[in-house]
Amino acid sequence: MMCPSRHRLAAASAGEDTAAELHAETCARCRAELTAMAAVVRLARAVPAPVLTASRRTELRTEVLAACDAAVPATRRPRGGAVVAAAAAIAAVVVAVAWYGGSTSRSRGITAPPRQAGLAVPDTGSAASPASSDASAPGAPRSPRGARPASPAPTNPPSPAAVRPSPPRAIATVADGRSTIDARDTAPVRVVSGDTAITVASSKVELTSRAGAVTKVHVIIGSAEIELRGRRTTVFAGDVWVRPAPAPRPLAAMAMTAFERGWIAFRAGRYGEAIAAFDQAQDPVIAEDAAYWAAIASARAGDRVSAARRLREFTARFPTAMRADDARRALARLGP
Amino acid sequence: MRPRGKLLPLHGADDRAELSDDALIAACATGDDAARSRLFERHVDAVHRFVGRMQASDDGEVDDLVQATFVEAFRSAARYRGPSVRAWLYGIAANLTRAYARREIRRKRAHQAIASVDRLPATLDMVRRDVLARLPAALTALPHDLRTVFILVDLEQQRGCEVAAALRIPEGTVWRRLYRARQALRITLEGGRP
Repeated sequence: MMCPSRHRLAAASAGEDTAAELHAETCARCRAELTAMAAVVRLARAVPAPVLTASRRTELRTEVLAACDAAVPATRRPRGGAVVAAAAAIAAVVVAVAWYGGSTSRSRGITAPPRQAGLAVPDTGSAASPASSDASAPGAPRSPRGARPASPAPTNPPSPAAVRPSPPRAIATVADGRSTIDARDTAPVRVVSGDTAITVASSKVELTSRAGAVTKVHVIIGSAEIELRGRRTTVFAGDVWVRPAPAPRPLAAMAMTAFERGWIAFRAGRYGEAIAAFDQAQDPVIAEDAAYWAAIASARAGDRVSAARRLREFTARFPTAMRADDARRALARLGP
Repeated sequence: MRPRGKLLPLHGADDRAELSDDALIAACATGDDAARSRLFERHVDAVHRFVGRMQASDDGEVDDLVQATFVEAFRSAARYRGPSVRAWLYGIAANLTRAYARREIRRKRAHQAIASVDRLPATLDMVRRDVLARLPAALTALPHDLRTVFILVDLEQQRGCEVAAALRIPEGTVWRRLYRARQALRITLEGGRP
């Protein structure tokens, strides 16, 4: 029987090459190699690890945060961005003037369709009833760069924007892309999209929308108040607010935690505990790894029947997995 | 577009305690100091231990490298692509340690890195104490690439695929380096020359 390469034995001694590990059980030379490597590792682990004292930890944290603050670059617009911004600003003026200047006859009580951000303009006291207007009427404003007026939909359910305490006078829908709101010479504008509301007063901002949500707000002049799930943030000129990334799915996070727990137990040789933890990691993000390592943990625990069953299930469930060949080899070694 | 300037926090302190590493990194990318602080608290011990083992001698240098690792991580938080924040931090620390060694100290003389025998557990027999006392020096004498892999896999117990991702090398290279590192240490500790 051919011995595995030395680097595979290194992986085996770290618990990451089962086939090589199983081979070493029947090969004296490879077993000796694994034993020698394990002795070096045991010795190295016996050396006390450097410890960070509590006081030094606090000092370090302060220094790191201070260094980060000092590292924030001065606000400068990229050269090419000026042209884009100017174009967006021109388009924005068109939108703002259209909403305000034409509002007495062109208000629109409509709902934002899925995956589009709603642009809501608050009542200034001069608007006609939303139901009395028609967005498709001649003279209805065309919005810039991906923004488009929506058609009237009286039978549609009201959007979140429409049931706010201060009902907006007009709503438009903004498709994915950038739009600019210039509210320097108008009443304050409030943009509502799902869980995000942006209030622009005497200011000018550029919004970026994607997948029905406002993902970025760049304050060009003045300031904007951004409310995300009830938490308010004020962003000032020159700053960009970026929507935080969504938290991972709870199930995926729980599965990852279970897998990490299983992995720690596995490395510590607590195979029963490892199997139980791996079995809890059922989310697709980690299920493949968990199934494989649960099988290996069973083999290490000496439960050949369970190991064989788990390996068979693994190869059937993940036939093209990176470790599928390893699993098949391990299964062959375990025998019928 | 990178966020410019400093933004106000988006979450309360209580929320952050529950956030995953990925969520904290995303908040760090927006300049959220509280998220940075939380991420620092989560990983500073591991990073300090890793850098301490890599550098082995001067506490001041270790602290400088730990600080530089986190500052670099927070600056480049927007470029983080996974899969593991800790492995990513290890990768940054490894690169900084290498650069630092090249620029500032080159290779430390072995005697500077020898751990104090007094730090070792008193229950160890003399032969074992002697071997353990020589280990940090032997580790420091390893080439940077071998030392990094040995510390990450064998001492920090990171998975091979995570180390490969952090160091941007194939997983097979991780195992080859690990084998060479262990072999060199074994020879050194047995009294030979690596």
